[in-house]
Amino acid sequence: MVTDALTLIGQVLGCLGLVLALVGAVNDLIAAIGFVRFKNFYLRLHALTVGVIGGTFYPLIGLGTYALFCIAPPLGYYVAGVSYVTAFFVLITAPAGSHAIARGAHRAGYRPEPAREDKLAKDREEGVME
Amino acid sequence: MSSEEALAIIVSLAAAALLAVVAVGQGLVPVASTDLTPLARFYLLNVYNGSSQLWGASPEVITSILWDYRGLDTVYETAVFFLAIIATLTLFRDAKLLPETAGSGRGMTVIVKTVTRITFVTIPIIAASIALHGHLTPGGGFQGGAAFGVAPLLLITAFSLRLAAERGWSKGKLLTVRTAGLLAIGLIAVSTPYIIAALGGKAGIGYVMQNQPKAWAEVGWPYAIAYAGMRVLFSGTLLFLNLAELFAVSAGLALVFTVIAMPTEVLEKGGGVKK
Repeated sequence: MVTDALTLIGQVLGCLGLVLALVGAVNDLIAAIGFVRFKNFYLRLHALTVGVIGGTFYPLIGLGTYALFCIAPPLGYYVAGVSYVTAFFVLITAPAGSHAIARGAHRAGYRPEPAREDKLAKDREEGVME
Repeated sequence: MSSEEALAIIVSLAAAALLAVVAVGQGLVPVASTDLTPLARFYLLNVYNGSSQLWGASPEVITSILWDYRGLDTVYETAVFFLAIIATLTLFRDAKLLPETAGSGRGMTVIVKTVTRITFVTIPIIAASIALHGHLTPGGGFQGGAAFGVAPLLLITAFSLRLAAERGWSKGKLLTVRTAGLLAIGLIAVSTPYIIAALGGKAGIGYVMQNQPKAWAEVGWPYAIAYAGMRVLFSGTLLFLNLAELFAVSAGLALVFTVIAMPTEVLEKGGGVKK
């Protein structure tokens, strides 16, 4: 009875993992459309981040969960471990990367548009930030 | 939507449909032939076959070909890479890496620095894992060194060259590591008869870059040691060549990145570069 319940929970979690992978695919499609259709650099950067976090992090987590519960133990553990570690590094490096790109663009003179107020440019003029 | 965009979308959809038709028509099998060439069959049959005279003592066929069957080729490849780095250094021969002249030392924002601190630790681990498992899994010394080369690049971009200079990096130190790696490869290349003599075996005449004994040249490196009841496979020269190549390539790449990252004035003053 207990093992049956555990198997059921495992199957439900595996299905959740597959749903996450599907969500990731949809996010990737949205990011691709946004990347082509958005008007300027900063808006495209937004689409890029949707693609990286939504389209890479979610599927990796989903894949890891699926592998953990639905693939036979030794192989499943390998796949899950690699997936989770990769997901962690994607999660922390992607925002830093897009932050560095945006900073470089702002320093190179591209201004966000449309923007109500550009406080970074103001800070830079006043010398608060370099 | 302009007519060009509509055309682009129609063309991509048509290409996708064509691809799907082809894939289904083929029954979703690989398009390339699955038959092996005679050469591939030779390597697969011999490379980890202890009863074969031509075995390489390593389950990883590519590393075995690169460092054993045609090892001289890889030695020359390493030498060419070394020459390229020497040429770069000759171009900027008097450019010195000093903390005073290595830029402002400000680096990037705190966000990038924090993330770099976390990821930085993993790079040497991954490089060592790729290089030390080079004789067991895909990878090897050059790949490990190329992975390690990301570490100095990341350090210079995120933290600044000045920090590297303050921590004691210099062109001379990196070049020493690079040369030591190449020297180790050269020594291993001619070492086989000496290793046999040192281990108490019958010293004979061996080839340059010989790994395992052959019928007509009966000297070779041991390929495994017993440790704690287990047999640890290190495939003769392959592990040591991979290790030497890891040091050579990573130090070489670090050297090139360091030189490239120097401020323009320093390079202009210290080299043959004119404005």
